[in-house]
Amino acid sequence: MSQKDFMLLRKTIRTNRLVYGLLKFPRLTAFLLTYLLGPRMIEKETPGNRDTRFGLARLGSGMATADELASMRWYIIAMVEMMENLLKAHEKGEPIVCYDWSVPSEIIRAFHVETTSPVHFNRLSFNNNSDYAMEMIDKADGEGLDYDMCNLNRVAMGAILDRQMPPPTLYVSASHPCDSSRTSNQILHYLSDAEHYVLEAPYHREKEDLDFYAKNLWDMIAFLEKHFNRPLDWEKLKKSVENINAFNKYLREVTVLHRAIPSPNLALYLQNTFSLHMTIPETDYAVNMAGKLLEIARERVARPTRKMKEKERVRVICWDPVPPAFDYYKWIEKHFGAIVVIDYEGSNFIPDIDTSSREAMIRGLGEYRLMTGMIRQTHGDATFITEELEQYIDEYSADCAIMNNTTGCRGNVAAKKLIIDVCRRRGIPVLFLDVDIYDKRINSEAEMKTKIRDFFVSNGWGR
Amino acid sequence: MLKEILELSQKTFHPYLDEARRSGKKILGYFCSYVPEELIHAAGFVPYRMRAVENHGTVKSDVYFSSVNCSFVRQCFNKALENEFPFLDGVIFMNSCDHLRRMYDNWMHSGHDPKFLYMLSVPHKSDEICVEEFTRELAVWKKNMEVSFGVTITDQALENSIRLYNRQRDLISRIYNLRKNDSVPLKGGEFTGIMLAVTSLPVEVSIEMLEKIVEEIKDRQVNRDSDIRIYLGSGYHEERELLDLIEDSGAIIVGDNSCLGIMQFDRNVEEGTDSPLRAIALRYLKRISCPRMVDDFRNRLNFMNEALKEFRVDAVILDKLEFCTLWSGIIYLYKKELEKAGVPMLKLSRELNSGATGQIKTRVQALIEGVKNQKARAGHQG
Repeated sequence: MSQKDFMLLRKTIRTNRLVYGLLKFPRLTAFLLTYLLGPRMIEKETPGNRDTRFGLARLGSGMATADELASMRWYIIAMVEMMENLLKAHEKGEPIVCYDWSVPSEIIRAFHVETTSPVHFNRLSFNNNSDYAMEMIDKADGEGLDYDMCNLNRVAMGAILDRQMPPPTLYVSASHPCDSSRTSNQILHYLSDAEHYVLEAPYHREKEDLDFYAKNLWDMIAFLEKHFNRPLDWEKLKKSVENINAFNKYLREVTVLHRAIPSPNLALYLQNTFSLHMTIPETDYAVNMAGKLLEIARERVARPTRKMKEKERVRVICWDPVPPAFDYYKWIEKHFGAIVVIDYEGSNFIPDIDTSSREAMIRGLGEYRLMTGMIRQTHGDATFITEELEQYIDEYSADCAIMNNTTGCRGNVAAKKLIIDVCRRRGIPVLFLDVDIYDKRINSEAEMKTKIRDFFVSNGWGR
Repeated sequence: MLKEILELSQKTFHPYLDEARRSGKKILGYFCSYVPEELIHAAGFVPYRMRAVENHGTVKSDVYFSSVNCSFVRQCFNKALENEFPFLDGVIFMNSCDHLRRMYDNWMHSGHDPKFLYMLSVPHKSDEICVEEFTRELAVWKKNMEVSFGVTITDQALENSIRLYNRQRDLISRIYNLRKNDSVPLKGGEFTGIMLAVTSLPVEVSIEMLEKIVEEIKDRQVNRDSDIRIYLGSGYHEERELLDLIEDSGAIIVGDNSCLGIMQFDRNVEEGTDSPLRAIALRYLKRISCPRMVDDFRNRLNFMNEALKEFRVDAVILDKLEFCTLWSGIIYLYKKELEKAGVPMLKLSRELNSGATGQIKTRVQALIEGVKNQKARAGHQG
């Protein structure tokens, strides 16, 4: 399969525009997905559903309610506009800043420039057709970027080599959270003629660490001001931070509401907000999506339906990113009544950012990015993992945990004994599911299903 | 002396450590060349670079680690779980890579001795903000050691340690630079042996030994005229047999850009400054960097290119341990640049102490043969 420049972006924009249009009528779309498309999507990948299955998995695989789909409408338009703006900037020859997903990118956008994160292209590739991701991995392989790097980064590098991403005029990367990020950033800088800046991040997140991070963020701002030859627009940044605060405030409450039995069952959509953290969390769209999720969660917790009560048989903690090749949240719900009540990426414990001064705002943005899912657990000591996992078990009445043992995540796979011991101490079973984050050839969907099925059956939750 | 030091290099524990312990000195293990030995020494302790020599596999550590984790980390942690480091009073870790930082977590969790385990956070850049931060981190670590062991680390003691370690680095540099000559006095495997030994010895002892070695090898020649000159770019390696295998195939390793090589002794700490801690921070952040450091590839490349000229290198071997993401990336970049420059190169990826010599030997022989043929052709045409 050969792809023309930015074909992935253009295709995503077209498809998402269509979905956005359909979601003007969420009840009708829910009906169509539930009765027509959904049943063809959820069980397995076929040549006929390969183009749509993985994108629809993010929309609930035909099991979403009308109000859940309504929340996703905001998400989709946010993504579409971001991609359209990116293409426009490229066509007009305007600056495009490529940043690593752990960078507080709202600061860059406060210079009124378009931004993009290569990691975002992973999800795009999968949502369009899972074979695209394989193609990009093969591109990276062909270039000599070997398997010691996480496929999260290899797909992103493949997307750049394949010209799926408009070439940036500046790179802003970060020194954390993992070896693979550090390594791929150095390679991206090497492969591009664009200027680059690396943001140093602290190992821990004590007061002194946040001070250090803030100093580095100020250094980044000075670099950007020099690069763009203009000052940062503090008014724009303040507005962005206010929106980020609203976004996180809503999501924090949604996270907490998942303690309820039955849970409001929105973990999949909370996980989608992770993509917003990585891209444009400061937009009104992001706030609207979070607000809608909160509205649904409050309603479900206040008035749980009989169906909700009957459906929730097993409460699951999901740890480490779910492989897009088998986005199993809805599959386990359908087959075992297993509801993910909290997960690693979507859970939100991000504190408010103090907007009283510029200094406080920058410091707060640093903390925000250290507390975002996946970064929160992968940098620093493993106590960041174990303490959070214990908190999940204590507060969310979990029956079991599924650990997606992502091959490329060397830090997390080396914490398996720590995780097993936490679960054993708290008396819940844990399944270690060997997955590769983007290469579906390494662990097949059938193999993963067998392991999940065996796990639920052996614990008395299925036949 | 060389024979003795090479024997020491193959042991986890040796009589010099025993003697240090008997005289009441504590021994602190450390990982990675970014951990300043000066601070450990100034506390009155012996710094001991952690190693996996004499290891007995990974049966126990496999409970903690996955098969996609680094073999050095797995073997070394297995030794800890087998209680093969009973002489250590503490271990200093650092955030050098994902595998190693999890060894700290797993060791803490296992409850195995020693109980004093410390994670030193080292920045990934060397600008002024990071130098300041590393100075602060060193001060926190210093305080922690003082409180934990009931010692006082004075500036005077730090100055003394700085002076001693500078002396040690100077001596190692002298030995290292002798390999620039046509007549190479030391094999690559022997140099690695020296490095393994000196990083396990009290610095005062190692200085005496190194002084004797300088004398001992000054008229020595270990290479043959037909040997091709190899530069080794490598992450962690401690298997002298591997380097012997390369050298026995018709080559001599003359220089390196490796973790237990030049990175351990490049650049001295400035003596007599107002702040010894800052001087230490500066040395450790500004010396030739490891791939964990971001934004420094051009410096690393320039350093290697200079070395290729100075040591009149014929070919480069880039060696890494399996699953080492950091070295995998840097090797990709070096490979690109070496191809541009037309320097013959071989990439090796292996498990530590795997003994997979057959495959490596074949590949090394192919490289050497290729280079020799190339030289012969050039000589013929010339």
